[in-house]
Amino acid sequence: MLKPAMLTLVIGLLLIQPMNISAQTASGAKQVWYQAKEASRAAQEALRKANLDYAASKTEANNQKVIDSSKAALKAALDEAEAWLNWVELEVKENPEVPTDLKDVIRQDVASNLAKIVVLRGEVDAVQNRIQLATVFLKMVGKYLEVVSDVARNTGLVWVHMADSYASTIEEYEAELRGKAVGSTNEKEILAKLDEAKGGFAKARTNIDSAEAEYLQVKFPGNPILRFSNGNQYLRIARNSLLAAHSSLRQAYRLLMGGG
Amino acid sequence: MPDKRGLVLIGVALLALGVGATMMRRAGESRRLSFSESDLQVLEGKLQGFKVEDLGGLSGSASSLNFGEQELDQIGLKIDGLSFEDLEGLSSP
Repeated sequence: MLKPAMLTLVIGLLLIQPMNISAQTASGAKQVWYQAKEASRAAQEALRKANLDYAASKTEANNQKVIDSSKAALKAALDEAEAWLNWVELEVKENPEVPTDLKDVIRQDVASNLAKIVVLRGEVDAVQNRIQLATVFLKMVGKYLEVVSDVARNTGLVWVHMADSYASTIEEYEAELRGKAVGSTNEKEILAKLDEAKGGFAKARTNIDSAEAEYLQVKFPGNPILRFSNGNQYLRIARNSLLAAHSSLRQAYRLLMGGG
Repeated sequence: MPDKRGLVLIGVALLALGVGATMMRRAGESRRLSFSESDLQVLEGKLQGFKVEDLGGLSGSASSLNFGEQELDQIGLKIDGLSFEDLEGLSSP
């Protein structure tokens, strides 16, 4: 008969196997991330409890318990960040709308951040007292902002690419309709609608360019959150302009086809 | 001669039909586009679904390309997850 410990090990191995396979897809990686998130929360709860125990009784044993559970919480946070980065990379990789060059940039950023996590994990392992713990914690906060900045910048650039491709499609449709509208019975009316569409996507292009400029400034140190927010504002204006341009385009299309 | 006149009439009629058909075809071709109204609908759907979210956190339950505001609070590695209070003793090592 298998002993309980052996049985646990076997079950554990059986559970780990499909997890590794599923982590090869974005949806699988997302599940792994959720699990890491749960583990991180549990580690933080254990740290909170250790702190309460230490506050109640400042013994050396309780002090050591705070250090150990802090280390466990930091490691769990690193595991969570690692799982999250893996998911981000796979999601982008599976997205057909993201161009290859941008995918490469994101892959490199993720790899660089994963390498930082490996270094930090080693530093957490080496922590022996509260001073070292505080130092590593502060370092992790800095690295966390770097990770957030990298992902925000890349996300913004993916959005810029998508908005740009929508603007290009509208631009192509507009040019084609304009060519066909010449000589048609309601040429004047159609051209007026197409002029509106043209104005819309020109405005969108200006805002998309501004958004890109802002997103490229999403770096730490700097003011990444503000830059990201600015980029988003430009992109929202661009989206509204594209929707307005699309509406004019559709009206022009119907006029040309005799349905307007 | 009646036969000759009949042939001429048939010829004229055929010519008229041919010219008419050509004109109709040209009119149709002049309106033919490389895209249809359903392509416009698809594009509109993409634009409607194109959401730009503010930086709330390193997450987004729907997509990694969406940052959900609430989810920043959920991430374990949030900055205030481990506060300085947790590191008490720093001032008196």
